[in-house]
Amino acid sequence: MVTRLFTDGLSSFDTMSTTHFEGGRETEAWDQLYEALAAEPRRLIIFSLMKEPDGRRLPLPDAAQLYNRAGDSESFRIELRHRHLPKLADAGYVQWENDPFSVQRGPHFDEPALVLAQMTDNRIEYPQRLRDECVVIGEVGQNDEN
Amino acid sequence: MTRTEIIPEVVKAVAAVDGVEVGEVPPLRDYVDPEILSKLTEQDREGEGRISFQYSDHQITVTQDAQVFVDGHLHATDKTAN
Repeated sequence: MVTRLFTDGLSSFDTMSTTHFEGGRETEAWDQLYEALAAEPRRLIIFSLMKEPDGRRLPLPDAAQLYNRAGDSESFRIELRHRHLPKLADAGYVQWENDPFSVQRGPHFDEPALVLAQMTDNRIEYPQRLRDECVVIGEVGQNDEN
Repeated sequence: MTRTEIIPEVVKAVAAVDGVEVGEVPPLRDYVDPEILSKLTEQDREGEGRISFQYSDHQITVTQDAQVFVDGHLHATDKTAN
């Protein structure tokens, strides 16, 4: 019985191995997408580019923040240059430039855009814990859009 | 007081040691995934985790409580001590 179970397990493992175990490639695009959306400035960049006509460059840091931050804007720019923008650009979601500091849609922009569009659909009623937070920018006041 | 942003601290530290503008420091992500540094410092400050990596010509260590060491020397920051 042990042998039979082992054999059965092995054969199904063989079947699975060709589709699921080649370095995790089955889920690579989605993992990359969710990880890209896991930071507010990155969500805001995608959201800002969604609202603008195709191909237009948007100035930074504006496209990555809801309002002009008081205090250390140099640190925010460094975070954008060294963390957020490379993450989005390496996945092909955006293209960006240093001078002028700006961002535009990349070849795979439609991937995060489609997911964010689905999630920001006004008809969706989110569970309680998510309801007070905007999908893109976190906590919002009661009557805010988004 | 806002939490120290670790990635700007690392970049500023290397710029200070090299005597260059922050804009001239090479891209951090060519050396380490910046998300790893953010994740480390988002945790409980009392923890003792640290990450060491090569960045440009320097050996960097980042601690869980957001200290930055460049080639073994602690980089002074503006954040107040906890």
